[in-house]
Amino acid sequence: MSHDGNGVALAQEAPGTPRSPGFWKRFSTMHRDALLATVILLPMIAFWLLVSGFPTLFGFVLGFFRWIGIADQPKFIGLDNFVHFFKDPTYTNALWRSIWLGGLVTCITLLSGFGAALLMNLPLWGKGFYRSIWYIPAVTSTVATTQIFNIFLDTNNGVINNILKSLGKEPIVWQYSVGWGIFWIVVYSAWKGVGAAALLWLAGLQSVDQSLYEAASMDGAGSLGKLRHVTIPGLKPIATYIFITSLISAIQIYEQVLFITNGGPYGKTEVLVFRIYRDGFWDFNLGMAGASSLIMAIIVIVITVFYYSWSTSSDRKTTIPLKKPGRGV
Amino acid sequence: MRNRKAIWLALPLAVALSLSACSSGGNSSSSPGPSEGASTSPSESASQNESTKPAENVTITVLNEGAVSIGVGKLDDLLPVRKKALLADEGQTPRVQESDFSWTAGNAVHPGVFSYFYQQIINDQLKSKNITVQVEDWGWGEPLIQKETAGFLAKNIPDIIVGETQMPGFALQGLLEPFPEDMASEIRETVAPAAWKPMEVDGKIYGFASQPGVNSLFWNKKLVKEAGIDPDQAPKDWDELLANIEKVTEAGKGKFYGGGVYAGPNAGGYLRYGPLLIINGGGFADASGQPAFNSDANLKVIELLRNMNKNHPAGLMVNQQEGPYFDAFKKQQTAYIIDGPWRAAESVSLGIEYGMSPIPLSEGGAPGNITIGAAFHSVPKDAKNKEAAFEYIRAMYSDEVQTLIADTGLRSTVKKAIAEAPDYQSKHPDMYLHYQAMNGNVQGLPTFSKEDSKVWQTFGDAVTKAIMTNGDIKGIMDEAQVKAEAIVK
Amino acid sequence: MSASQSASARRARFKPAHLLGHAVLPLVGLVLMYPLVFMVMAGFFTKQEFMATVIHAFPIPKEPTLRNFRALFEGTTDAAVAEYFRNSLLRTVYTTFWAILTSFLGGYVFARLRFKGRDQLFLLLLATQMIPMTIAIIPTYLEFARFPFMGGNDIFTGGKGILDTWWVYLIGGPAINIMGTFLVKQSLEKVPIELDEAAKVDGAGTLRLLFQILFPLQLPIMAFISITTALNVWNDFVTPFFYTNSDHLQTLPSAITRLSSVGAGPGASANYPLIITLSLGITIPALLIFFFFQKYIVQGLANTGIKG
Repeated sequence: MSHDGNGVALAQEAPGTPRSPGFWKRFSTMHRDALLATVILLPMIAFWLLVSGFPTLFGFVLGFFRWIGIADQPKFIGLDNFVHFFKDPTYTNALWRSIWLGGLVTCITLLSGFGAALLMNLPLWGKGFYRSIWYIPAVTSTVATTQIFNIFLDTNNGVINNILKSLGKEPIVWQYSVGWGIFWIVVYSAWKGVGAAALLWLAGLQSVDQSLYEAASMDGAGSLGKLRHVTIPGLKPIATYIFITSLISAIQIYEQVLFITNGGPYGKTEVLVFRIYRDGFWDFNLGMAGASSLIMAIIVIVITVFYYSWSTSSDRKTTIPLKKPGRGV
Repeated sequence: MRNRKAIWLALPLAVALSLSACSSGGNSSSSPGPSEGASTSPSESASQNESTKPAENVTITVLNEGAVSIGVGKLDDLLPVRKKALLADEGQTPRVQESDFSWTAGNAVHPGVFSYFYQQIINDQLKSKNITVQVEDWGWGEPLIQKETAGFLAKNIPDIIVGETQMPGFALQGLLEPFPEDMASEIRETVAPAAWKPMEVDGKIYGFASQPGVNSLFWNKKLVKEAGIDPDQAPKDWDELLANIEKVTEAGKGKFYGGGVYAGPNAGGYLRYGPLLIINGGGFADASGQPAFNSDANLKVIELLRNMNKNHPAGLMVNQQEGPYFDAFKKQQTAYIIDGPWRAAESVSLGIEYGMSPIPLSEGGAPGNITIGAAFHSVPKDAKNKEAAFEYIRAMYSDEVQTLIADTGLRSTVKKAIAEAPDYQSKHPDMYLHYQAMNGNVQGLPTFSKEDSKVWQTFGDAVTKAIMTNGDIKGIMDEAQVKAEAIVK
Repeated sequence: MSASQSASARRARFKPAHLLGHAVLPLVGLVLMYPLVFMVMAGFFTKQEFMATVIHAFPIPKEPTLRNFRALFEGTTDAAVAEYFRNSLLRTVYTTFWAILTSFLGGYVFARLRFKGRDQLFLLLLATQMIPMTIAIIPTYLEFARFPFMGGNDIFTGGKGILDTWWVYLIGGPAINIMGTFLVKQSLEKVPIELDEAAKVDGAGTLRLLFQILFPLQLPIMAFISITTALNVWNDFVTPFFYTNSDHLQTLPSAITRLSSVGAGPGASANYPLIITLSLGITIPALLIFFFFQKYIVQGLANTGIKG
């Protein structure tokens, strides 16, 4: 799609540029580009393969082996692990939970982050300070936040239950209620992620061409119209990034599950990465861990590809009519 | 020293930078080669020098538990540093004096100096055999298990490794070296079973803990008194225990509770309510190591647990993390608790007046217990200096170390001769009781033949379900049994 | 919704929007700032008191102590805090430097250069970002342990490889930063290609085009990539914890993980006030890094001037 974009840009190029040298140049760069790309990419990708490419591939390949226990010898079993994955409700439930929980966390984090970014974009006094404050949860270490969350959610001495008790209400056993467990996992994740999301949205908001707003004003667009026709389309590239990265990290939620519910009650808040972790490190069932990871990766990739093609196709629909007022001035 | 390390950092950085500037991908991946010397850590090069000095001198790498740790590095270097630090440490109550560093057998030991003496004795014994001890810290609990797993796989494993519930599993998988025959028979003869029985597989011993624990019943005397119960009297049987617990809950009126035992779905829970199963003639596995969750004996225990749960703040007894359960006892919110021997020393340090007794028996039950808080030390099959490593373990059960443990009084000694000496009972009555429990029917948690943690999870979830709901206990446990059998099949 | 309206109307009617901003940002900010407040307060506790009393949302110690804060600067017997700080810092600077370089170069390659299989390669790289990294921990450990000719290894075996050396931190540096590459690519695609061509007409070589013309335009996104990378590395405990053992290689987060995991053993109890204070030692510099960069983002954005 970048070709298209550049093509359009070139077609609108000032008439003064000589055409034929451009063509010649582009023809010669066909080879120069490939060479340059090789020189730049080769070392970077070699190191990448070394530290993450090969190890990950190795992990995946184990998905086709039966390897339970350190002393065991890996044995090739084809797709058996994958079949087992879809037969055993422990895995399919965990996968399903990862997907909807990840989606929920993504939506809530992104929406609240967007609201915050709109406010932060105002020329307020002390906005730099606010931005930093909002980022605090993201930079606070897990050990400390775990402690703090326990102070609040502990069934016995927790702050919230103490408040409930002082109001004469029954304390809530958070860990033995699926609904509350999910609720706190989402709250914690959003709390931790909202600062980063707000910052990204803010960067996006500020990268929207200011002259487009002026042009839209001249065309008589109201605030809502500007949001719809200028701000939102202008945020498209950054939105793709925010959505995809948030979804990837939300689907891989693990730590918060570990210390808020530990997968309980009775395994009902267990997510797939949690299961992968237990398989890999507790039971040393590297075969199932590899197979589960591969399945998870494929599902995330499918979601991403769908989102990506959807967002770029709607991009074309919305940006083409909008270019007129902007460029027409 | 520090500057030299900084140079070592700068060098590879420069190499990497210059190479990438040339953008020669093929070379850069092997670039670490020429500057290899730069990456050798100071300790490594030091140990190389050492091994060239006296021919017989060996250095062994050892993992330690927190309770006896004095830091990471060579014991020879660590001891003086630790001594200085202890003298300067304002957190010690009472402050450590120079005089605390001389101890003769039979005299009291400052608890802060215990780990110093422990390592000093071991270091002296091994030095006389030309063995240098290098201590590493791989953490504890889950992170430790992960590192050990990876270490076994890469055959990059210390000469002595340490661990708790994971160690019998390592032994079962054949990853550990059995103790030499003479050592094993000496241990069997002179040492209480709690220190080695859980590490026995097929008649061979694979690990040893120098100061393990077993469970006892502890109670907060103040809270018990408020319920009108004689604080110096231990409950005779389960009925009396439950009756007492209920009395305390009633007297507490929501401010404090009777308590009982932690029963969360994790090892912390299994290790503590496991003894109740054993006392009642039940258990986790049958004689052949297969899961046996739904025996009548077990069901009776789970019913007791369900009744105990009503005498806790809501949800506390089966909390997913064990910490809050012990917090409640420390904060004087629960009166009774089943736990390891450290509960005694910790209660003293928090100003809690406590009572301690063996766990009461059920009707028709027999004494039995589970080793808890044991740091089993083992020698991996892939260890480089196995003989020297076994010398370390010999030092752990030497009379000197065991007398030190007895004199410190935080835990009890495992050596029969020392514990059964006449003055031990009079000087450390609680620890003597504890020793007696260690010398009886003591087991470890079984390791199931396949996907161990999944089987345990099935059990733990079923027990918490039976405790937290009003469902049919037998039905819940039967279901868990079927599930577990399907996993190990 | 009213909030979003106000953003686009900031030049015309700003009063109600500002009011909202002044009300919401500090209020929510207070909630988000709470962990810091709590951490500072907990730092004044002794281990004993923290264990023995019920800790409230705003805990006030009866016997306040400065010991934990002193440990932050002087270290303790078990924690050479200054050394951990230095290691964390060096590691962070090193990795961030490479992240900036590889993201920029990678972004340039995938946004500007044309070669066969470009988009496929990019998608492949992007796809690897969707993989849970848990799966790679054990294979990475094996690879590091088997690293040829290092740490006493012959071709593959015999020693520790690069485990427990600085290489563990250094080796990943020059690897392509895929998410950064993606960001730079997105951002570069918005820069008109005429700029490149005009530069070439002016006689600028590829290096000049890259670092004098295109790089300055990417500063805002670079600021973001730097923050994310720096914070990730700064807070990372997995790498030091798994792949190193020696004390002199630990970073602050891995040291904290050790301190708290030792306390998890039965009978031992972690010194939570100390651990929380040390966490504060991670958080405050990270916040400072952030504070510095976030200003830079704003400036950079103002300076970009894609149109001008």
